[in-house]
Amino acid sequence: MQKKMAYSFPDEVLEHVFSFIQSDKDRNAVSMVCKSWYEIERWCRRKIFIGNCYAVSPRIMIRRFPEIRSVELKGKPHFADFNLVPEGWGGYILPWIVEMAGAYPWLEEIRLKRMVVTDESLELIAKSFKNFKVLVLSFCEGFSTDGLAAIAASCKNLKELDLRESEVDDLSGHWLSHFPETYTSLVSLNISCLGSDEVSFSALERLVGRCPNLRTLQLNRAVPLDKIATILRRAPQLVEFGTGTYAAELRPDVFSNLAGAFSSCKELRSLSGFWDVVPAYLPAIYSVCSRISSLNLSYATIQSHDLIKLVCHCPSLQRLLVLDYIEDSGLEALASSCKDLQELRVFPSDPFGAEPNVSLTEQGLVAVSLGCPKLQSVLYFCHQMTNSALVNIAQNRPNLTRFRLCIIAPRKPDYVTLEPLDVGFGAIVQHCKDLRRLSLSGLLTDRVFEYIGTYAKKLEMLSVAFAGDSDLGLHHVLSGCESLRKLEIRDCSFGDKALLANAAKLETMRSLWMSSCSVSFGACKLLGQKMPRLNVEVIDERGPPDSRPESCPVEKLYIYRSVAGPRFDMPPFVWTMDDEDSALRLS
Amino acid sequence: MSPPLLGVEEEGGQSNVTCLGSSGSMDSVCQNSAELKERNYMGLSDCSSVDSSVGSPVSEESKGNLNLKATELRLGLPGSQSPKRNPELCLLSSPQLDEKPLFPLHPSSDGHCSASQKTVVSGNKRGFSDAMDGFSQGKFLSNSKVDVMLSPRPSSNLGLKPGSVLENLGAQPTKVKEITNQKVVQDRPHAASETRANPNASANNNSGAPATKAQVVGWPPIRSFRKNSLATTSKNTDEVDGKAGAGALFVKVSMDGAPYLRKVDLKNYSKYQELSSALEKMFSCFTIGQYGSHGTLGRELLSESKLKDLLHGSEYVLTYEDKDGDWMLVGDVPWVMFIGTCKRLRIMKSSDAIGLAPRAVEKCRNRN
Repeated sequence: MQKKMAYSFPDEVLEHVFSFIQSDKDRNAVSMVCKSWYEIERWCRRKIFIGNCYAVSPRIMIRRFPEIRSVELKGKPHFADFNLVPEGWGGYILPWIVEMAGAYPWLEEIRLKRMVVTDESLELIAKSFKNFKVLVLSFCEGFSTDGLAAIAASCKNLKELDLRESEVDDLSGHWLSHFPETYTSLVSLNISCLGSDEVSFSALERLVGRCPNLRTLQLNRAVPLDKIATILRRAPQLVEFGTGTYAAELRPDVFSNLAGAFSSCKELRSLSGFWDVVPAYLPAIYSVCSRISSLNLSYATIQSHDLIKLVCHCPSLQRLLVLDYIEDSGLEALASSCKDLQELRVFPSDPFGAEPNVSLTEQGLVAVSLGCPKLQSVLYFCHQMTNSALVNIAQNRPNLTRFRLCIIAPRKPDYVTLEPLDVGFGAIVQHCKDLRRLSLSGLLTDRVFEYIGTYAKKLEMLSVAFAGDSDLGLHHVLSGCESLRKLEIRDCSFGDKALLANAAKLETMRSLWMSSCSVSFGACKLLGQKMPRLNVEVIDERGPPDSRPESCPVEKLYIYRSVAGPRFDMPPFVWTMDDEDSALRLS
Repeated sequence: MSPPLLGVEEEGGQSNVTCLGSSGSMDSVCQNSAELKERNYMGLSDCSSVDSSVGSPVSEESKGNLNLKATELRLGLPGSQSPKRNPELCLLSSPQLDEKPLFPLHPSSDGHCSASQKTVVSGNKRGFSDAMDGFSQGKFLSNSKVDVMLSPRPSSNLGLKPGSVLENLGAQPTKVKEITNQKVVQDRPHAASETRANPNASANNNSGAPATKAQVVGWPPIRSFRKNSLATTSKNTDEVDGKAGAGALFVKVSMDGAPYLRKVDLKNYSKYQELSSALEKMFSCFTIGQYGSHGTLGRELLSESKLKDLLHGSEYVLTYEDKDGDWMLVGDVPWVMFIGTCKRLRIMKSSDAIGLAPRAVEKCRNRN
């Protein structure tokens, strides 16, 4: 034993070695080698990612990792994006900020997704962390421009402020003016989610002008087209740019000014925004198109021929987000022009219309799968699909890692054969061996789940809606998908049996969401009692579940593993099932 | 697809082959020796087990035809599953379902490779696109390829062991779905905001689809930000204050004294009475809580009359903020005008609401 100790490296050396290990998985693996490595690693870990804020408590995190500089947290379940999680469910960041304010005075980065962030939280951040640099709030809510003003005023070293699609209460457009005139360190600013009155343009102009390191700037819709040139001329070094409204009366002087401004941006690689596009202004960006690798036209309501013209100017395109106005013909053009395409997202322009309004079908996706050899990630909304097309896609693109297909009408079969799409999705999971994320739609029986359980061994996230026939389907997934971390299900006739039979599997996953299924209250109670390391939350807006028979299905169920025990910040329509039934006792 | 009930009975005689879907897994099933008996724990079989309600009539008839061994339910056995799973934690320990009709999982049974034998498409579908002629040829070719791909499965595929026998959990596919949907409708009174797309219309949707589709909450899965942006673009209005989409109009509802907001979709209601009842239900938990804070009722349910008193009586009034930023009493303007102008709702104490009514009336006068 002692001989071994003599040969081991001093802590400082190990620490230095560990500093080259950045990925969380690797860090976790390192910490499991032996006790001394665990100790060294925990003192030198600087970044932490917590995929479910209720899986662990701030105290536990702080106790283990005393020197964190960067925290990333996720709150609500993914289906909250689609209004399936009632307001008030939880995901509050304040308790975390309070604890970290004391423990991590040198905290630099906070990245949050689907969490409730109040102005109080933002003010506390501004006050507590002297070297604060990065604030990313994706899909968050609960704060106003007052909170942003506090951040702007106090964070002298702020580099990144990114409000990705968060819901912000507009109280005043002047929060930007709270950045002092001496503040010059801005690198990235994304305010594209802000409403009309929430930005003072002159303050923005001055800010952009005095920050030479600005690389990313994404404006909100309120910024008019004729201001773009002004901004770009002050920041020709931009790498990512998001326009505001891309519409104005067509005037040659405005156009040439705009085109000139764009052409001076030699570093520009990513474009987004493009609300309310007037197609005649699109050629103003042609000068930069050859270098563009990422293009987000998903708010651009322009027709296929304009989209085709634009896309054909972008041979280096790797990522395209677009509306279904692109149609099959546009996707075919994309397939022939953009051979480096890795990610494609096609959104519906009229999701609630009774009939398809554009000619976008399965053909478009097949064409892209055939023409773009590097395609890995697909999100595709359409009105019709066939097994045959899915099989083609699978055979063409076995390198797919993310495949999300949304056929807009629930339970729609293969429109040619009228059969379920089991075989098509089966082909996807069989051929795409590295598939990590899958979303299903269309008419699907238990059989598709058998395929998934059999073949989708690397699948980490599965989204299911209006599918399957019986518990067998759920059982296939829970018993077969070895890498499964997140499973979200809505409107499927899955009940208790598969869930209870695979209870242990749930501890190997981050979370399970089931809404409008057939899981009984009794089963939830049983799970909660038998599985102390799972939080079993019943969400039911009809009132306490014990006011109905135990066999009655619950509205929504959210199960996640946790070392923090049941939470206490739940609203009245959420019940945690635990050992002592304490949540069910009248208090 | 062939009528499920018939399909089950036909296949009863060949149960050894058809229920398992491939020759490989048949061996593994026969090697399993554990038998699991169903216990009626927690009354689960009364309500939620769809298969028990479906299965019993059929199972009586087909008992004689079935190979009972092959239909036994087998679940996670100790040591036979992935190492991560603790076998003791299979909470469904030793249940056995009654003999169930076999779930036809054989690749050929769901007809995909027999598509060529069927007249698959109705006249409507043929007319749907010209491209289909060339397309259908491709379909047949690839179907046969699919057969080759998917049917031979290695027998050592552990993942299938319990699954292949658990097929019995699934009864006839369509029938189960229908019954499930009916049960679903009975068992779950939907929140006011949820409607269902017709689940059985999928096959008929293409031909002569109705002008409007029933809307389901959160479907298609598009984030509010995107919905709002599209709505604004298509309506070509200056500002969309409520979270409006072509199909929804979510506004925030706050209540004085409540710790957090709720959201309601105004498009779910057609008159004030409906909105009012929905809000009562939604915020009853707060009023109960408040009542309880006085030490009287705790979390017991209030009687309906008491609830109404709290919301309609002297305690609270319902107000809204309109497009101009003014706070008005709900109910003063016609419903349609209201939903066009309402940005957010607030349930405020009556004492704070004094002075709102006259302004509302005046505003209407100024508009007219």
